[in-house]
Amino acid sequence: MSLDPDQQQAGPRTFQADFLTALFQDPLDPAYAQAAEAAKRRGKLPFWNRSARRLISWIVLAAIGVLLAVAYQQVVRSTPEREKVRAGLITRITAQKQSQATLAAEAERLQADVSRLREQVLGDPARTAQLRQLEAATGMRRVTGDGLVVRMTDGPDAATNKGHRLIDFDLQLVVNALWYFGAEAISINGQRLTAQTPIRLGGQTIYVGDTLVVGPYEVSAIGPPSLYDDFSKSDTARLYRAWQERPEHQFGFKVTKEDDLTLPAAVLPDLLYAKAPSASGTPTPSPSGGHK
Amino acid sequence: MIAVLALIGGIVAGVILEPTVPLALQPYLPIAVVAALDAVFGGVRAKLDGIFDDKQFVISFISNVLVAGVIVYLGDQLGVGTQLSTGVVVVLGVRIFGNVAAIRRHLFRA
Repeated sequence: MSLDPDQQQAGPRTFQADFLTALFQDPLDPAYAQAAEAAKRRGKLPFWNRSARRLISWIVLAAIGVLLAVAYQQVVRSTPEREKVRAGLITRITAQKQSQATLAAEAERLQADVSRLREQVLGDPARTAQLRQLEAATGMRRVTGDGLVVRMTDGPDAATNKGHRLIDFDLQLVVNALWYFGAEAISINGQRLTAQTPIRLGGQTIYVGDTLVVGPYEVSAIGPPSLYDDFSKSDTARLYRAWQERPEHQFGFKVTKEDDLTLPAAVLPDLLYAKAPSASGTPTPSPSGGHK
Repeated sequence: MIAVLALIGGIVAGVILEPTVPLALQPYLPIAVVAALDAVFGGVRAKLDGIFDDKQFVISFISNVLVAGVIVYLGDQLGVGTQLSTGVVVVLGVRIFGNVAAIRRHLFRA
């Protein structure tokens, strides 16, 4: 069956088979050409009809304008909203940090009270001294003394280069070396370490115990007079001094001798095995108990 | 001339009135904008070609926006919303580019 050209012309509309090809060749809607042709054949429309059509197209144009404005505003409006949420989160974080700091200070004060009261109850100076020694060794008591401070910083490109970032392992190495050389008390950025305090990585930040610490890291240690010399000559210190120069790390590493360091008490950990004796102690029969 | 004024008037009205878009319609706003741009550039091109037709323009705008919206809605329901939106944007984008190129040839003879 073949279409004769006249019939094709007279047909209402012809559709090309390949839509994409047509789209690329002539992006204009073919309906425009058809409408123009139809208008030519039909002649001019009456005036009112033409004006009505014109009016409607102006209304549509105005609608498009509103649409553009609304879409633009939508985009602009969503940006400060996100900022607002962020700022809200930041204020909440700072508030929580502050309350945590005050609570920690209160905990330390209470702990000092407890220690003082316990010493009063204990009475015996020898046992008090022993208790103090034990508390200092376990990190339950503030200690002062001479020692050293190790300052470690990330490399200059820590933000982009993973190799320039200090991780938990670096702090663990330094802390272990310090314990090895006889350090009696160690704190990282003011967080006292006990035998149970983990140094670990959470995401990209380092936690000492449950507290987040950020660089520059200051590892303070109190120990015997030989601590500084021993640590400065240790393999660990030499390794980090070497890495200071290496372009793939460039960590900052500095050991300084410091006198009269004061390290805070650690937060009392939850006791796992030891049990505190019950508050009232073993019940004692009252003098008149049972005797009427 | 009045058409341009109508467009600008619409933009001004949108800025001043600040109509709030219902949350359900917000995902369709970008697609509607692209469809509207296609209709506008098609209309300008037709005007320069001397074959502009008001009825054609109005119908092309309304059907563009509706079809684009329906495609995106369907895509969202089927779980391929982003891909279908991309398809709509590509097709309309090609048309916008082609029409703008034709407008450029009209205006600058280049």
